[in-house]
Amino acid sequence: MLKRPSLDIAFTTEALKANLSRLEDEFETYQTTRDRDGIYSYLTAVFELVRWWKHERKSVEYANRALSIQRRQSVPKIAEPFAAMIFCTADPEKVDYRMRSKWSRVLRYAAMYKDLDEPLRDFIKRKGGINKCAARYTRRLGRGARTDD
Amino acid sequence: MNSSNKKHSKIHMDSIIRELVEESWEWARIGRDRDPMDKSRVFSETLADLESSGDAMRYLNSKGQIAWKATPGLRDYLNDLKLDAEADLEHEDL
Repeated sequence: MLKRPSLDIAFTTEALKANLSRLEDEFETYQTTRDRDGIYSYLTAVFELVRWWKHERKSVEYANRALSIQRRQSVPKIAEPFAAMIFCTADPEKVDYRMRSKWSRVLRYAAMYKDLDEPLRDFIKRKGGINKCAARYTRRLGRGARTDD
Repeated sequence: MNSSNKKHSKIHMDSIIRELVEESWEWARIGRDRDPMDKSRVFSETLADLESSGDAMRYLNSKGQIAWKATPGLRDYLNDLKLDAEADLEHEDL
């Protein structure tokens, strides 16, 4: 990762809630659109948020905060920040564990290999699509890959 | 450039957010409700407020720096205002 200038602006609970709400809106838009590429807007929103958290080495802390403030009854222990944010913001009736795991692997793969200035959608498509990126992550980094901040 | 200016110049913002932050700074200056005036503090507080209200978001820019930009919600809102203003103008022309 590049330089880490520490911005002295706290990420408050209200700010976290506003971001969760924005991601929920993105998911809803994805659900209501017939655009085949609609999923990329939602994944990009999740990716951008967790990406700066990781840059600040706060992704696990903020993801845990998000899990603790989201309203669903049963909160599973999710150690991986991308998966946690998908759990917090996507309708669980539409996105099950398998789907969440797949998207999370795609985003982790992009976090490792995507250039900063390449749009997420372009990267995923260039690498063969969502399923292939998930498979690439599993193959290269394995299921036991450690979740770092 | 003084130290305060150096600090806030490191905050990367898009044009919408920069305009809002500069406006807050102008209001603070006019109101003189801070003693001494601290531009960096005004900038930081305004960004925090905008983030909490869902109008601004942080992200990692293409240089790997934390930057700020308007959320899609704020962009949509501003776009609606612009369209309304244009419609009003057309109506007036008639």
